[in-house]
Amino acid sequence: MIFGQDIAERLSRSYYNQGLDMAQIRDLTGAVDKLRISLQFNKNNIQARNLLGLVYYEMGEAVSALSEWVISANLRPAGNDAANYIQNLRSDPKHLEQLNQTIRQYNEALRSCREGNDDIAAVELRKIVSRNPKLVNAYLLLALIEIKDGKYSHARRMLKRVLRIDRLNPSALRYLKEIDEAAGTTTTVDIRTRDRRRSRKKNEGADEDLQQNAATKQMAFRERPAYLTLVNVLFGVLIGIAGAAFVVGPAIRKSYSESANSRITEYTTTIAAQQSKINDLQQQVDASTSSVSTAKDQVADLQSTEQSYDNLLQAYVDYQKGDYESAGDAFAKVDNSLLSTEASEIYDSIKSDLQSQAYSSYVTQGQTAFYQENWADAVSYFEKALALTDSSSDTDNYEVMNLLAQAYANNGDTDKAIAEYQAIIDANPDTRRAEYAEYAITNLGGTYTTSGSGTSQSGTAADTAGTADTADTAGTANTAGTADTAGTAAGTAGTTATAGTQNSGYIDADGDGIPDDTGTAGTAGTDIAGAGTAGGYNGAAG
Amino acid sequence: MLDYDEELKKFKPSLDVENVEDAIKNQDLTDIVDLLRELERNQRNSSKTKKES
Repeated sequence: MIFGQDIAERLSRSYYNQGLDMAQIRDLTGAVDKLRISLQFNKNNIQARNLLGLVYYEMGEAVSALSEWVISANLRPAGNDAANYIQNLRSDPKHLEQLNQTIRQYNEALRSCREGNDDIAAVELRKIVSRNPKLVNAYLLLALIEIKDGKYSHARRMLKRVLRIDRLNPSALRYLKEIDEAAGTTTTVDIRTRDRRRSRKKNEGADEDLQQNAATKQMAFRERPAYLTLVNVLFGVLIGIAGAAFVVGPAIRKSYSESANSRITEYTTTIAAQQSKINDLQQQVDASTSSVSTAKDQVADLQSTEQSYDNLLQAYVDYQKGDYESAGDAFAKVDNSLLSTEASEIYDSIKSDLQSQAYSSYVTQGQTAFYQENWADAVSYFEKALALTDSSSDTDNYEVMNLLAQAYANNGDTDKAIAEYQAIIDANPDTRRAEYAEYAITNLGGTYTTSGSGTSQSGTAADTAGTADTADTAGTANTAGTADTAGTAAGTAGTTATAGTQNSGYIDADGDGIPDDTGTAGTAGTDIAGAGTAGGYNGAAG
Repeated sequence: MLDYDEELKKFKPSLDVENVEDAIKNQDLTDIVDLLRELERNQRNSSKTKKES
């Protein structure tokens, strides 16, 4: 008996190994057959029973798996992996209940089929496989119903799912063969096993090998309908075009790039040449403009020279006629620097005499206009007279300058009057003439500058009235307080005071340009006091 | 050609939780060793009967 028991255990282990090999390549149906035989030889082969439970579980038969593990745990209570499997299932009662629910529904669907209610069964089975996607029998039954209804495509899809779980399931393979024969198609089953290493552990750790190796073995099924050929051809054409673009593209781009660079270089050179031409032309334009400007200047000089010659001739003619005034006008317009040596000699020969004659004429005409209160003509004549003299002789021109200043003031040209008085101050510093001019500027409300002290004074309204004479620089002239009083009274006369200046403002009997310190001047002092503009000064004269 | 009805007969109901206890209790766990022992016991009984007779 011991010999027979030993043979049975050895046969049991042999079938267990075969079952394990099949389980590792996901031939689950074959594994179930071998493991059942193994257990028939030895019901105490715990590894075989545990593996059988795992295979059932993998095929969606969770309760059958649980049954095998419960028996296994009873046969060997200690050191048995079945206890762990049971514990895992019980730890998630919701999942176990869901699996059990799908099994009950499957049994209901099977009963519906047997009662002829295939439609109801098909609807139920579709729900089942969505909730328990490992339940192989549900896929097979659904595929069988769809084959019966001629829905080969759907049936084929279900059978492929079966073969992903149990790749050599005989029912699935047989149904696929029937579908191919009925539909006239070929369903290719490609089996790709990445890891063909087969562990031959015989007892210990067999179920772990199943789990590990099952994850590394895959199955793929490919249908090859006719349109795939066309797709492949189109794909090949696209790849060819892409390859050609990849190879030829850079050369074309390079060609374009070289052409563009060449054109850019050509354009750059052309632009540089054009720019150079533009610069040359601009220089020519500048040179021409300069030449034109020079020519214009030369023409202007020639015109000026010609004008000077004309004026010189006119001056000479007028001079010969004794029309010194016209001669002076023409002579004043002559630019001696433009004349030739010979013309300059003529210019010099008549200059002094003409100037003297013209000067006298202008002064006489100016005085006449002045006394006739024709201020504009007076100004014109006096200006012409002074134009014939040079600044160095301003001292000798005091009378003309003084009259010109007064003519300016009376003509309403205060600024020029002040300027002329300032010229008198500058030409006659520290003299009575300067004091008079300073006082006149103050009365005009202007500012004067004395070259000696460098100080300046400005006139005020009070000075005009003569009441503030003590503030004047000419303080010595204020000693005649009575005259100031007269000046104050005259200050209110305003324009009447201006009329007083017609009397020359002072008496200069000896003609030296300085008011005379004579008693007779008192009368004139009274007149000037009437003017109010020279009250203090007149007091001194008095 | 598949015979739908014949194929349908090959499908068996799956074991659910309500039936698992009965299934376990009623499962035939007899193996070859049990059969051999039974045979051996029967042989011993028959030989003993022959000796007594």
